[in-house]
Amino acid sequence: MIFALAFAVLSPVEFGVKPKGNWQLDFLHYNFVEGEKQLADTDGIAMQVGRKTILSLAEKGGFATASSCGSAGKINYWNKGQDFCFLNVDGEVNKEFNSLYKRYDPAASFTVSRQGKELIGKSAKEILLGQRNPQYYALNSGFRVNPDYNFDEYFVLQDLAKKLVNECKSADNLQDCLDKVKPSYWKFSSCENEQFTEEEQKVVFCVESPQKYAVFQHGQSVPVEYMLGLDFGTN
Amino acid sequence: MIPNKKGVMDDFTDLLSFVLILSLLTFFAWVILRTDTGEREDQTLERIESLRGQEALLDLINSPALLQGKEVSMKEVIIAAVNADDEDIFTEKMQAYFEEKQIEGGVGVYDSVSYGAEEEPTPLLSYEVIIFNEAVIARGKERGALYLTNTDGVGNKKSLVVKLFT
Repeated sequence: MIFALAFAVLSPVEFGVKPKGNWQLDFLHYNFVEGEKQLADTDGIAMQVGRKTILSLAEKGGFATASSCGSAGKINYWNKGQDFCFLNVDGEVNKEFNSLYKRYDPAASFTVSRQGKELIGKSAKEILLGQRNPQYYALNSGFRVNPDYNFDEYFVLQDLAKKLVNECKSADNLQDCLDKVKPSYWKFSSCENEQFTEEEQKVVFCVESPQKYAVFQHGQSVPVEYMLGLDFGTN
Repeated sequence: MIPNKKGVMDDFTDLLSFVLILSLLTFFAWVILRTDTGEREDQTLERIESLRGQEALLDLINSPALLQGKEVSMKEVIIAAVNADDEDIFTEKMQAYFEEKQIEGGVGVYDSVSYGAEEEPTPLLSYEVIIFNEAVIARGKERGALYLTNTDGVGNKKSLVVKLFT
């Protein structure tokens, strides 16, 4: 009797009615909400990196690394004589995005695809919450963000680039020909201070986004401007 | 006389044992079947309220906002305001959100280093609902907190903590 009395008083076991929904609330608090917080952060990084990818690729004419048609500094050439180095836009976006994302999470690796203006990232990496013993809660660490920009713009620019090269490759005066053929949003050398320069029949262009796309960066709306080079030589 | 006295003593001992056993049984029943349901219900409601606070914070950071003519999320507004050290834009957007949702409370943004190291860190940015007599509502209980990675952040501002208060 005395033992039973001592057990009831000193035992850490709590008798009586327990709070309702403890397991469910623990699950929501430590798994679901915690997972949503981590996904919100992943989405945030993906959005910021997605925008950096847009501007960084535009600066390099759409190539994540040097173009096989040649490059000069950051300027990548889109053609070599009559041969065009067609952009694999999806591949370049994937490469550049992952390269930029690794600055914030070196272990991250996404397969990035596009759907309209959206960027979709899939990863084999799981966000693991709780211990794997025996039950655990895991989330796919993918993302889907809309940076309000369509990479299909590169295809429009490629078509125009081919037209320019075809029409001006044998022109006596390259500048006159380009002035007549190129749309006004194609500028020579720089978008701010246009100036025609030609070196071995190669011309550098700064092309303003035909759709007037601008990307939110550093608290500012930054217009998308493509830097690229075209070779008007016939060799 | 003697046998009668013994009988009375036996009866008395029986009664005493019965009362003792009954008391112990009552005590055990009280301990085991203690039904302080009111207290337990309060605990559950408190946890549900805490969960709602976390959801409110997620709603806040994911809600859309207009900045420089572009539709962005509130977490981007927070990051941009921290990087530009622009308290005005932060206050403007938070005020619009709190008024639209008709909620009271406040938001504090901290760098994660100070947040983890100091007991009462100074926020990089903060917003609190001001009532009519311009007295600031005392910073209440924390409803939720989360980390945000700031890819353009420098030094301690690379990782931020956003806290929602009641």
